[in-house]
Amino acid sequence: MDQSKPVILSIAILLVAVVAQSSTLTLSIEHHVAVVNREAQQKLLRAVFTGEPLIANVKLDVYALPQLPSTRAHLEELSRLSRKSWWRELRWDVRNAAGVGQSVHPRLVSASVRERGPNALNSVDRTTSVACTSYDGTFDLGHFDSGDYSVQVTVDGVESPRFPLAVRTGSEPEVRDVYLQEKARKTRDWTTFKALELERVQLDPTKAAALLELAQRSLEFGTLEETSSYFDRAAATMQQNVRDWARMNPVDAKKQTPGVEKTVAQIRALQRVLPEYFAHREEWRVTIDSATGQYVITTRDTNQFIRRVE
Amino acid sequence: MTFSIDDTEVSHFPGIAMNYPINNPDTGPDMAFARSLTPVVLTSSVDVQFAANGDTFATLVIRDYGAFGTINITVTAGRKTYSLGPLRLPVDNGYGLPAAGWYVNGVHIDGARLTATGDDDTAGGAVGSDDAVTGDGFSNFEEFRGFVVAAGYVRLNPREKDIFVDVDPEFLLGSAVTSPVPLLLTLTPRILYLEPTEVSGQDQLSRNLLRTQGVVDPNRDTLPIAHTRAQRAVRLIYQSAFPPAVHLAGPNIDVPVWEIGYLGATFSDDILNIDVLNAPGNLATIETPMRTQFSEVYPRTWTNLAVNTTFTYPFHYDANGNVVPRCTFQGETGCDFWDTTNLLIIPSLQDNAWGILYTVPDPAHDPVEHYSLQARDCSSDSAVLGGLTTIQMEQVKGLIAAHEMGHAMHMDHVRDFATDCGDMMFDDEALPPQRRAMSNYVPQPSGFSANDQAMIRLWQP
Repeated sequence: MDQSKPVILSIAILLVAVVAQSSTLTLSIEHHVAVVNREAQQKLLRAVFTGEPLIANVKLDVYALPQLPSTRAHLEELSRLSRKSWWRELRWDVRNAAGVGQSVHPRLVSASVRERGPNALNSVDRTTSVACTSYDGTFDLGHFDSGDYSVQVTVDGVESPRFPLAVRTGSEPEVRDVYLQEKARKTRDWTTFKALELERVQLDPTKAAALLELAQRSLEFGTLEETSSYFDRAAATMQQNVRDWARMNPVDAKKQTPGVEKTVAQIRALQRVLPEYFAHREEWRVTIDSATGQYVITTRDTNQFIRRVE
Repeated sequence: MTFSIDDTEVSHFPGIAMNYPINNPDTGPDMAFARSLTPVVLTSSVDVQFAANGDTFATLVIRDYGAFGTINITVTAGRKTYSLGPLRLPVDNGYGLPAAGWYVNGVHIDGARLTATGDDDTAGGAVGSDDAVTGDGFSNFEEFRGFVVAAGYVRLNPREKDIFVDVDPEFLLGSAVTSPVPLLLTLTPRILYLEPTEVSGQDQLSRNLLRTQGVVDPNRDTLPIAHTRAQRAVRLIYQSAFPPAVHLAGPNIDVPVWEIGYLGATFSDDILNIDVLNAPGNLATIETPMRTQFSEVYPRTWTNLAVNTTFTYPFHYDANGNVVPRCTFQGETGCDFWDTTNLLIIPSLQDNAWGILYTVPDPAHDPVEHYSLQARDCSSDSAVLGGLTTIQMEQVKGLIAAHEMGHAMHMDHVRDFATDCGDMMFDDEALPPQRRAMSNYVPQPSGFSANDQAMIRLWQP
């Protein structure tokens, strides 16, 4: 007879030993998102560019939930963490694509500790159902060479999920558009902005986002002619994009098409008033009514409503 | 005297309960006689001598909560042999279940007219003419055999629906206002909270999605079952670090869900690509738990919608303490819009679709300041000054979690503003910014409505 069945049932209630899950340790790293094709499927690439510092946020919540007995795991060790120097107990594990460990020297940027729970002294800390010590730390991991990495942090037996990170120079085709968009977002110089956005369009003529961003900033810094031209191209490209999308995902395209049509109609309405707007550009500006999504014109100095663009 | 069990007449169910153990469940016979208890030596047949007091016995070991088998006893006296039995244990009701019934939380379950393969749970609020109005996805035998829940063993009531949930601890850690637990208590079916080790799911590590498509009755081979599909837990994930993206077809860009205001999402089996919600091939469908992979809540969105302020302090700051400029024109970047009429700071919309909020609340300068969202009132459909209050924003966390779990139980949106505003599942699915949804309206729901519960379906062919 097979003797391997491990449990003999002779009592009505079974208490089962559970594998340790525990208090929660999360790690997030500031990054940009790019959608890339891998193995015939779209995948998310979490990218950081080589010129940017790697900023990591670590959040450790120490608690035990009565509904989930496994959350008691490691509670004793974790409850011994020092409020002043808890972050020194973190163990960082950075590996490259080959799984080789990388040397890393995280610099603490900021750290805080909160005692939360139903009986917390301050009402703002009464945000948890049980007593919970929340440790929060932001770290600068410095600069990494281009490549793929995974980052994990552990403390007293508790592990964070591994964070996959793609460090890129920004010249790689799969992240070039995101890189240019990010640079454009940060510049306030019109000439630089225009060059960055036009490169996006040159690389991918279907990139209506770049044309729309160009058109909207051109309202402030461009000429009437180029503004109208950017809006024309943005509208036409958006319409073509959604037609193309209908062939790839018809159900989703059906949802998105009315929104695109509405945006195009608003662009056309705005184009009709552009000559008048440019004649008053020093006093007026174009903004959007957050409730309706429509373009509105207001005065620059007092934000007084001039007209809704319909 | 010989006690024996015919190996072909005894159950060999995997494991000892529907979900225990999850890994490598043993399929040996579920009943055996003990030749010795220290150490345990089991056998299919054991010889014992007549006891002097006349109470001759053998020890029968039951090795499964749903075990059944047939026992034969032969008595040899001199040259004669007498047979007793066969005796089936437990005594059967004629339909594959114990005639004596069983107990659930001290309440006796009368098993007299139950069949092992039936799924007879009453509608419990579900309304409709389809078969799935009744039943919770488990056969009566599965409910009798029982489950390991939160490290303890329970049998279930086959006349009342049970829903297993596997939620990340963050949802249980939150105080009552931020937790979906009080809202789930308004459901008629009983909710059972599982430990991670009590579900057989799949980990999708690229987005740290653990235990998706988590089956709660994996040990169902050779059992009397009611449905072809296994039943799954309603899985709720607190997705703080790895949110998915959405493709915006018109501008032709991909943005993380939090930048376009998604608070949560539910993934049925028709979502093939979990990285991009609307990737080609993905279909947004509402399914029962049997065909739902998981639900997610995106906490990052809560800090990207708006900040309520009185604008009495002239400066507003980002997380690093830098002043955030006020946007002066449409599409401007690196700044936030000041909606002085509604007392809100909101992100500057890019491509008329997405945005990043830089300002963080600064109660030291303005005690009113907190994360908020542009809210409206159900009665007048007019804007609420300052958007949601601090406590209402916290409540939205529990509400969205419950809303997404509702989808995983086959609840669709209710769309009629006049009759459904304020309902847990309200969403008219119009295009932003005209979209009207539960999260944007006050008063907030206090639980699932009868209309929501009418849509509950827990199994499908």
